[in-house]
Amino acid sequence: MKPAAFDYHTPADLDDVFDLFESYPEAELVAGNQSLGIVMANRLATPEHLIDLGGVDELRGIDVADDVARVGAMTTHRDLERSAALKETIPMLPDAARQIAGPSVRSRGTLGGSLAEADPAGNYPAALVALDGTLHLRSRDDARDVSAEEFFVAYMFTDLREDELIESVTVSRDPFPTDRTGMAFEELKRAAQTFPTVSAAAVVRVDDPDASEPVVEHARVALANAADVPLLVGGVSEAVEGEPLTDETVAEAADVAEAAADPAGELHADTEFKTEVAAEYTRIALTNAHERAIET
Amino acid sequence: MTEHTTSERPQRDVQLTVNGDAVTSTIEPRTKLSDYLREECNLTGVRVGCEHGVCGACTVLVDGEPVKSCLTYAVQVTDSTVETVEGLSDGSELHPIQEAFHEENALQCGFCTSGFVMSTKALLAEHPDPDDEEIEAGLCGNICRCTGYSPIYDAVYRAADAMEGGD
Amino acid sequence: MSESAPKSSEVPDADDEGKRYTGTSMRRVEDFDILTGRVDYIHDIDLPGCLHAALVRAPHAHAAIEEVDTSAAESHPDCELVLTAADIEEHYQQTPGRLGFKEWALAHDRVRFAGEPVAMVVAADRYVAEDVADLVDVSYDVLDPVTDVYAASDDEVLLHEETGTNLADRDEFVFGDVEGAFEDADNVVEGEYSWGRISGVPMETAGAVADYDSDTDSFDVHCNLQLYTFNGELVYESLGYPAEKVRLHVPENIGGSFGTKIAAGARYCALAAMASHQLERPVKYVEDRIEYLQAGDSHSCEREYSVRLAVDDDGTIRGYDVSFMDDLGAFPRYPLPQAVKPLSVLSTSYHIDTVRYEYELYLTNKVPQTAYRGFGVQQHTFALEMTLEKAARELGVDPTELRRQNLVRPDEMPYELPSKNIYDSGDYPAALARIEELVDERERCEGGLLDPDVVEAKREEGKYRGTRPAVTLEPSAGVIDYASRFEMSDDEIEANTREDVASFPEHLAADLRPDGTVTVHLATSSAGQGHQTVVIQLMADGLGISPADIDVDYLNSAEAPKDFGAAASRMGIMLSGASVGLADELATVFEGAAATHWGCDPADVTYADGAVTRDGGGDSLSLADLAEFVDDDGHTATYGYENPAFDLPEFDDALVDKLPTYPGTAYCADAPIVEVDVNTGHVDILRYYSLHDCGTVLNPDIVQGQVEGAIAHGIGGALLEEFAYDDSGQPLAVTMFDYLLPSITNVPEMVVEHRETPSPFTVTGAKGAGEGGTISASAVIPTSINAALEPLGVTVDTVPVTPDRLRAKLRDEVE
Repeated sequence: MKPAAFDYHTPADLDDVFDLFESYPEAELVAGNQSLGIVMANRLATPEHLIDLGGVDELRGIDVADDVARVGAMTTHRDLERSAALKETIPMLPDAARQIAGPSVRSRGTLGGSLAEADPAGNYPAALVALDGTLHLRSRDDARDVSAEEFFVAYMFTDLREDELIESVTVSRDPFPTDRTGMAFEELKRAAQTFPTVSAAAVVRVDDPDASEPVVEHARVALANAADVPLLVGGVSEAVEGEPLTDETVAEAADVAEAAADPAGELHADTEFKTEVAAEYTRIALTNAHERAIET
Repeated sequence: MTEHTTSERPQRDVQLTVNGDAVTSTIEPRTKLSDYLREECNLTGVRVGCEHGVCGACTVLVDGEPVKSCLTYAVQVTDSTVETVEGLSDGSELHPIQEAFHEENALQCGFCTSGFVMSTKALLAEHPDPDDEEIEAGLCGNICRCTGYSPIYDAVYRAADAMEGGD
Repeated sequence: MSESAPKSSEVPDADDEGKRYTGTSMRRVEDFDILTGRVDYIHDIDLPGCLHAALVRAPHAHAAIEEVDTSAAESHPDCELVLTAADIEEHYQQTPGRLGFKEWALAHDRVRFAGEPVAMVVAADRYVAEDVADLVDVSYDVLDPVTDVYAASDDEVLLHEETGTNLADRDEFVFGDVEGAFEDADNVVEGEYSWGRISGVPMETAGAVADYDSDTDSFDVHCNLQLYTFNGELVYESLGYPAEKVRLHVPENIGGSFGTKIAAGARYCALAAMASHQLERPVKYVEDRIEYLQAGDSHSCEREYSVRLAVDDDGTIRGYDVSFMDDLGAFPRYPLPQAVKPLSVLSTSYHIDTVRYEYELYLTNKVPQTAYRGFGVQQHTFALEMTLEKAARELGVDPTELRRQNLVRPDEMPYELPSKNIYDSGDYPAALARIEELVDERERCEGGLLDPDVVEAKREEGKYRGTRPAVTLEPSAGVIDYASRFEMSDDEIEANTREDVASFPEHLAADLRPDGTVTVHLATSSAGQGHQTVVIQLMADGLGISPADIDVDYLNSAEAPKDFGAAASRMGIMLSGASVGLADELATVFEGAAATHWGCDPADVTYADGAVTRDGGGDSLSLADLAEFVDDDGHTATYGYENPAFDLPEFDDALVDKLPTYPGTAYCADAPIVEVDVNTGHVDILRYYSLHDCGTVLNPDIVQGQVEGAIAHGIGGALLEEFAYDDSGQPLAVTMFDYLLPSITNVPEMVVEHRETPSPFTVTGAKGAGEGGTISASAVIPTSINAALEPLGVTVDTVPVTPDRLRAKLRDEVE
């Protein structure tokens, strides 16, 4: 399991990166190498040039302002997981980060790497779709914003152009007032070392957490590994918004998820099973998010 | 596909501080940190169990954080400080974590042990007085096929007591 | 053992007069070198000028090899060698197999499983070797694959055309009037159960470093084979050299094996040796993990069971009829006896006099089987326990009562099975009663995991809890002579006599060193079991010296007699018996040497506690003093401990009939508390209770480690692990993301209680301890899932019990 030979480049800033793009148009970008490293070791990928973004400081960092939370693409899972500001404001992101593999993978793996890989089982793609986050893409001459929902185009295929990279991700804080919003990221995983069979990311906002029956104002659920892209379960809003959350409305949301799910079968998780647990995890994630919304 | 001879394949410099010693080499960029440590630094306590980031046998600390050295190219961590299991003790006395694994019978074949010991070091740095859940979170990236894990919990608790937040 | 390992901290105070080490949890002497990273596994062995090999493996499950074009690879500037089947055929021999099969170390004409090695390339390092391997161009004519025993039994596609069938072997054993029992019984219960393909998957893969010496025309091969003194012919016959020209060496530590490295790795030893022979330089090959999982010669049993149980209305079991089809993979290999080892525990812990046992072994396009912890017994135990579950349901009786009623009683010990093996000792009903008591006291009570109120409340959430214990057996220290039955006709077996039975003693040698310390040489490899520690404990007691004055190392295969080694839960019995005998032998040698020196009768010299003294006189010599007078031609002493079953006439019938004999039968009664989430199909083991009896305990901590580790393997087999294949014969679990070993989050707290019923048959009273937990857990996790789901009437019939399998049953049978 040794990779084919490659040359290795360490740009210090974005200008360097774009220079290297021009010199080596076939080069691969590497961030934490926790996924690319595996496919290169198997020689399923044999890039002749690797451009390591590890030294590009402007791609790193977490900045939570009043209106928006911004996370640089090269921020590691560990940094996300430990961010007090994110735990306070957009807790789904640290929660999703914490559940990725073990600590030693999270030390190196990055947000941007995971988004660019676009594995439908990945945690951040589903989380960002649930949060209606935005990806900020940069090329030498252009900067553009793409919603998470639009970014993931097909199985492990994104809207990212060859001359672009992911600079950062933002999540608007406006829909998520901390005093009446709850978030949950729930993975169904058979063993710590493997990928989730499905995951569900849910956000719930209520009108008044102190009311005897708080009404759900806003609810959004996205599923990982339930389709070839992170799947926004559109019908959830309709099923649960505008009334208090009940077993019945949650069940309705779960039914919607079951209908929306279109998973690929895999070893020990056929399509029927994955569809069922997509519904079950929608139920669990919504319930937990709601509990947190009314607790806060 | 490369068909270059050794001299024609790309080479890059790497400089690291490994277990306190400065190390400088010119290597192929494709050299994994695990192979670099094992072959260039002769630190064969770094075990290679899966080379795809699952088993954790190759875990080392890079700037204090646990890292799977099989999924890291040595050139990616140039200028960093690397600690391997060989750096824990001077060769006569065991480090409290090693001592705890010994006392609690937390190893059998031992192939996973270097990785567990290094992950434990990182775990105790973050949680000097861990509970079961923190131990599981800290060690879930390491697989032991021999012990059934029970004595590993005991070893972590014993090490935590012995270290009492220190090292 | 490395020179620098300090031992003073490892051992109890040696000044303590009369101190015995055996039976204490003396800290392991193996640990220091492991913990400091300095111990060398096969991966770490580096010889000067060593080259590195990589293998070209077939992408297809079944294909004819049309051409192997090595020209591009050979023209790579760093290529040292490309080896193909044609080269092997020209220079070397086939590897011996079972049932008359032989194999080439590289696929010859045809590939029969995905990942089968087709060519080996050698270069300066592994990176470059893989570069060169990519340049070997093999063209294939893809054939239809045979991917399960049912397809194999059609014989439409043949694995080996020359044999005319995919049925490699079948046999039937009838004990008593089976037909009569089934006719007479009040009820006949039938069942079908499946056991998925699993294996040991140690953390260290297999590998070899071979060094050919042209001066002596001989080989040194460093390897991590499990039975290197026993199965060395897999290597030397492949090379076409005599045994003494191929010295197999094992490092002091193997990174786990669990039976797998009995066959896995032999191919690599042969190939690395061939390459070294061609190049006259050392060559190293260590497989990577993907190679291990895909095609590392390392999978184990995959069985389809059909069973019938004849049982009366009052619960008396009249007869058992078990047959299974086992998927051998592409070739029958050395561990074939796992098809018949269950005869040694034919009715497991139950008294059943009338039994039929039948097997059919099929060849398919999958990885050939090796041995795995349990060696066929866990599948047999699982099938029988599942059958009892079904019988209890059909009779409408409590399954635990049905089990209790049929257990072999202590007053029946030693208990001879219809298949002629003998259970040595134990109290199975007491074990079952105790485990039930433990669960009642600790869990079926207020605040316990099985507090009836909690159980009820959890069911409301869709979480069903339960446990259902069973008493399961671990046959230990087999006389492996029965393995040769596969190469014999029925008539030859019929004509077999007691004199024909081959003996498999455990061999130890020892040297007295000039400083008065003793080195003990093992003829078995060690893969985590603590052999060195246990030998040192026993030798320290036997010689009355400090453990710090005893060192252990390993003979190579040419120095050692053709021994058996660490397999079949054997070492607790065999190594302890050998150590006791070796200490006696050393004492005799010491007395003889002193007598010669003093010119007196050896009978007038007494060895004790590290010194010889002359009776009546004042003469005394310490071992250091004595060392110069001891003849150092070869070893100071050697000892072969004969398998106790070989010496006990009770086992003669079984030995003559080539039936498996295992003189020690350890047992356990286990009760995992399981929780099934019926909405997701996931099974969580909340706590695991085990009552374990392996006779005399030599080192409690080591036994505890074996028990807990074995249970963890059983958990993996019952819930997580499977080498599944798709319809094209492609393996689906080639990464550790897919072949799921239990992680720290999958293995629960274990509560293990020990009792010690010494074996009357073994020198130390010890029995085996390495396999029981695996055998037990993979049966009692399914029974406990049945117990948990009893309100829903859903039962297990296939392991691993994966969430999708369980959900499918819940969907089909409940919802």
